Amino acid sequence: MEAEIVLASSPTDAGISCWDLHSGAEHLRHRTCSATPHGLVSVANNFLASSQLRDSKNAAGSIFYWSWNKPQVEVKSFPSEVINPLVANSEGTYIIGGGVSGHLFLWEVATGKLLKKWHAHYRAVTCLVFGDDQSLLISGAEDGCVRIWSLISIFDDMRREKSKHLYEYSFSDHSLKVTDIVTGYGGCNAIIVSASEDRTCKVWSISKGKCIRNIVFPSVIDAVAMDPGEHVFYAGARNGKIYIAALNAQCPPTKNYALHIIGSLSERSKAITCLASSMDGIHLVSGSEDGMIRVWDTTKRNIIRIFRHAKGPINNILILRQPPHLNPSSTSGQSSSAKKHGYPLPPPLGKYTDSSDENTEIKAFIGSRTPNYVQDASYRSSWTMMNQIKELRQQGSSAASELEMERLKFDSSRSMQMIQQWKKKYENLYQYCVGELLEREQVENVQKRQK
Amino acid sequence: MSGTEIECQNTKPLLLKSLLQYYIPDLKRPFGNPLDLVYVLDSLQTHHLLSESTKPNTPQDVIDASTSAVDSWLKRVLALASCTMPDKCWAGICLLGVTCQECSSERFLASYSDWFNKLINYIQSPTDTLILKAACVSLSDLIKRLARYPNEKKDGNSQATKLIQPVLKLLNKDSSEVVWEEAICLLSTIITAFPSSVQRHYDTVEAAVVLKLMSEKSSESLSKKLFFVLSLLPKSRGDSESWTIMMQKILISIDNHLKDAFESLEEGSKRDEVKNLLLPPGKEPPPPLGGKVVQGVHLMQRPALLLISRISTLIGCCCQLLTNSYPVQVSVPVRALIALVERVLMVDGSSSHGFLPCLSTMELTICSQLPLLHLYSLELLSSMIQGLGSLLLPHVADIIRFLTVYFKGCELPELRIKVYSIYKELLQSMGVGIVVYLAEVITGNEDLGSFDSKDGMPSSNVNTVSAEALLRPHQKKRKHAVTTAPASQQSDRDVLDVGLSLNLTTVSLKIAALEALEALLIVGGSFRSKDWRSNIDPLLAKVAINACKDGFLKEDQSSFHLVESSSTWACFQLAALRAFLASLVSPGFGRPRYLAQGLELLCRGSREGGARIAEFCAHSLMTLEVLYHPKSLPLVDSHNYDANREFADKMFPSGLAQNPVYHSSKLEKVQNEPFSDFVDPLQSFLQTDDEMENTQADVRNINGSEEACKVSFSGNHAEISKLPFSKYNDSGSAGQDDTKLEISDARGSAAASVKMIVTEPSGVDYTSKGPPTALVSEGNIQNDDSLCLRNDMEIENNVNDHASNGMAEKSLVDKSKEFGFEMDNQSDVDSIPDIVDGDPDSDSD
Repeated sequence: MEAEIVLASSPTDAGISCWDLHSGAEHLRHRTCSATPHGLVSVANNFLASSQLRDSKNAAGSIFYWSWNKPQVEVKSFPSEVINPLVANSEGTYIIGGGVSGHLFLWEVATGKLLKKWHAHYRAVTCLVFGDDQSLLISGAEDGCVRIWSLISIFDDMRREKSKHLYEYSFSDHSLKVTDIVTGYGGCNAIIVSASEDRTCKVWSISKGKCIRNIVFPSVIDAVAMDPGEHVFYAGARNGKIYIAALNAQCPPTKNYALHIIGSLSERSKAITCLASSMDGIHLVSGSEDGMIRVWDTTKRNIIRIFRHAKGPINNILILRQPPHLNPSSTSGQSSSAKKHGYPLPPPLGKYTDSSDENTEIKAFIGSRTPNYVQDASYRSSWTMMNQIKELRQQGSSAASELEMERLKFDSSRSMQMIQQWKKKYENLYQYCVGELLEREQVENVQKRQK
Repeated sequence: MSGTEIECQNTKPLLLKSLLQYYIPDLKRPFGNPLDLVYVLDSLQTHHLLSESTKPNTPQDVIDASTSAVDSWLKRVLALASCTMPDKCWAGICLLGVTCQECSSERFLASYSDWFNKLINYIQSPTDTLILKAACVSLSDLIKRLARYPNEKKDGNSQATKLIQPVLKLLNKDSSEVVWEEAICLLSTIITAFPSSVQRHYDTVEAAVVLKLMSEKSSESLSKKLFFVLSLLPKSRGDSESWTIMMQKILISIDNHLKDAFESLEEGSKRDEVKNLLLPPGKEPPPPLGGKVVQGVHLMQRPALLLISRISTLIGCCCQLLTNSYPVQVSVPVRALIALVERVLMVDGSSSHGFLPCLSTMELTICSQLPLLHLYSLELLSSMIQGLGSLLLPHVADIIRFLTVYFKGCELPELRIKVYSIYKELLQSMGVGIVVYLAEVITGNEDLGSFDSKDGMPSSNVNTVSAEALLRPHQKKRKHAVTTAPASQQSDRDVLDVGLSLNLTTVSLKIAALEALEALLIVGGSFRSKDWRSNIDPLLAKVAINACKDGFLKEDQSSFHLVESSSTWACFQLAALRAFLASLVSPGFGRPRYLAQGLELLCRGSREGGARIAEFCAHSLMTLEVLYHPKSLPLVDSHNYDANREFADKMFPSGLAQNPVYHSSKLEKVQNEPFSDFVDPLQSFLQTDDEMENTQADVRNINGSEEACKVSFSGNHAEISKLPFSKYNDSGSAGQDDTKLEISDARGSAAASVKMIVTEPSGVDYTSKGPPTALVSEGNIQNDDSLCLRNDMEIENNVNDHASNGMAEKSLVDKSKEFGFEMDNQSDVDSIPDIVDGDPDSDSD
């Protein structure tokens, strides 16, 4: 099984704890973090980012970055207002934060540029989630609104001017603050589950653009987690119970619960504040107001492990694949230097959008998703040799060589003729010369005699 | 150790020795049949004769034997390689290369430097092309092997550095192209294996490669290798800067060439825009690509063609740079790249038609070559999408805008195919958000239109008709146009058309269009798709049905001279089926209309089709199972209201229950529900869409006969349980009665149970607070109207689900079971008689 880690943070300055989900071993604890609810995010598993609670209301917000292998805060950014929820897309190229004024801020991670800022809600944004294909953003706010945004449309200034509103859908069925949102697989067919202080959870269909199920709970739900197979979802309530509500599951007729609720996990604990589901769908991790983190086995409905984070309440829990740069000491090898340095952290996030047209360049890792060029792996000598032999054979056996032979024969016979001719000429010349010489001698002899 | 293993261990050296003895030429024996070498190679690789791999516990004599065999092999190979006879020398070099790849690590590490020195001699001294080529290949294999040992990195670097000068010399020499190609391959191996060895020669390598690229002589395969090397080159430095400078150099070079080529064909504004993006005013330009040497090279013959080939080569380099992985983060000049693509695409040969006569020969040539340039710049766009992924998001809207304009005016099928594939890539990499932009342009064209008509299809047996007849459909027919001429006449005309209009590209265009549609349906088939789905679903059904009307093509059965056309046709059938499947599976509005036809088609395909089609059909039948087998459970309310009520009692003993409010609003909903929306899912499951209207009428009839139902309900429960269906259908009848909340004509099961809840726990409220519609629950809900509305929506949705969504059926058995259960529950509940009593219409009253 792939190693998964559990991360937890709290509003008190208790840092970020990190455990291995399956072994229970504790990893490095990152310091100085008093995260906002939904304000802890792992950016493409490269580093951690968290928006921070501020004491005074007027202060600007702050967002901190941590490397996986160093406990202290490495990069501090100070956006223009306090950011509550924070979310990053799966590639780790964009970070989006929801402000207390209802604005959403979209930053490019590599450059830290604030690319877009727009008014999304009338009151503070409480939660932000990306749809599974990373093109839709879902936001929930204190005004009870759940809105769906398409990133492409947000970047598209021309369309922005034309249309009345930026959002794709706005659901205002919740009468009170939205506390948590989760979304499932399926792109445009996905469902969204939202929880609210009005004691309901609502299931929305993105394709239909409306609520398809409304579930009333006995207590306010502050946290929702979806079973990865979307069979059920878990709702953590303020009364300390985790209710199991049916999505695709059959609702057996139980006499204990309201419609669609098919069971609960409970232990004497304070209010459940956050929930996360493991990738295999078996483990469910809950954080509670008493500072304890409980790992549940959902098949047996019992607790299998308890982690203790701090005295204060837990307000964020993440379950992640173990990042490559975690724990430099445990990984040894030639490339340890690279591991030691970890992932180079990007620059801090900008405060204001750049009005000047400087968006001409993009910082990118080119093709990092495809590891190596395939051609490099293969040796070529035997292949080239075979080809060459084939060529040789074609030259050697074909009719061409016969032609060549004939041509050579013809050439040679012509050359022979030439030689014959030259020989003849030479002989002629020789005889002529000899004759000439002899004649001249005779003439000279005659002249001498005459003298 | 088993017997066969011992044998194997023992026979290896023997086999190797026999190969040496009989098949490998030696210094005295002349070079025999080259086929012998094929046999040698084959046995070497199959049996790993050179590996010297020994299992633990191998007897010492076996190890010795294998070592000595390989020793003598090497001795012979090296002797051959130093032979003066060219053919033996060639064989020796080649076999040395094979040895580099096959021998054991110990042997390789011990003697690679000797081999290296031997091989490098050949490329330094002028020899035969064959030998040069073989030496390059063997060296490149040696370096590849060497790069696998991280401990040898330092030595490898120094060896590789020695190679670069001779390789560059080979490149600059006027030798044959075969040698150049191998030299380039060797160079790329060196750069990937030991990047730092090239560092010192960076500029000379760049100059040599660019010189070759720009020369007129390079063939296509050579230039492909050349721009691969050029894109690798920045890796040797491995920093962000060199990648960016390389990109900038190439872009500026393209810009300069474009300026010459498009001098009179484009407007100045776009040119200046690109220029500004490339080099913002006041910025120092980088040195020219390839240094000063290349600048001087200007061939005056056929300048237009040369310009075009250079531009397309340089764009190819850009593509390589964008798609080959690079170790560090780089800054990509996106805006400049996009502007470049737009600039090339905007130059349209037809825009200068107005002054056609005054075009010079050069301009005419360039216009004729424009499609090639367009193809390359589209390729660049596609590389950007692949290389940058989500980072391109801020620019996607702009890209789509100019691409759409271009697509509308673009007529050449090759270019349209490319644009379709870009649309497909965009859909796949950008997600749902892009559907809004692309749906119209992908669905609103006529590329598939000609398949609408009945006669646009091959007739008779596919396997026997000629290629032209196979691919004849090329008549422009409007969608849904009904052909008036009799079928026989139509086919006559087709035969006449055959010779003129048909080629494989039109079919390829249709395949591309189908693939784009498929991607659109997969990514956003249910997202704001009401407008186009109603056109596209029937179109895809028709295309698929028509494509397979005359049987499925079995690739293996087609006669050999038809191979190309028939395989294209098989691809078309497959693409049509894939798109059809997507349209069936993608949740639409209601049950897929063409499910029946689709199932029939796929079932036939899985039996009759060739390997690929049959596999696909079988797979799609499995995918569709959720639609035609009522296995999946719907995301709709079940019917355990009683449990709910009891739960409510427990949770809210005060009676100020939320649930009652919820349910009362639900009841109201049922009342307000427009009747026509409600169709029994079972009914819809049992019949086709065409009959849907009738069903609704039927339901009305059932409702009309209220009497019967009422009697049966208010009579005894046993009777009802005998008639579960009429009862179920009847639940809609509540919608017709405009009774108030105190209604008691609860004939439908849903209404009945709701009623029970309303009356029982909130009975106190009735007296204290008035009608339940005004109920305010514990204060969490501020406005019960809004709550009602909300619940309305939910129910409406549920009902719609029942009515229209094909996913939502349950088996008959399930249904009746549930009803049975309800009946049981109801009979348990005391309040039922109350309801019945309270029913003013009831006969028993």
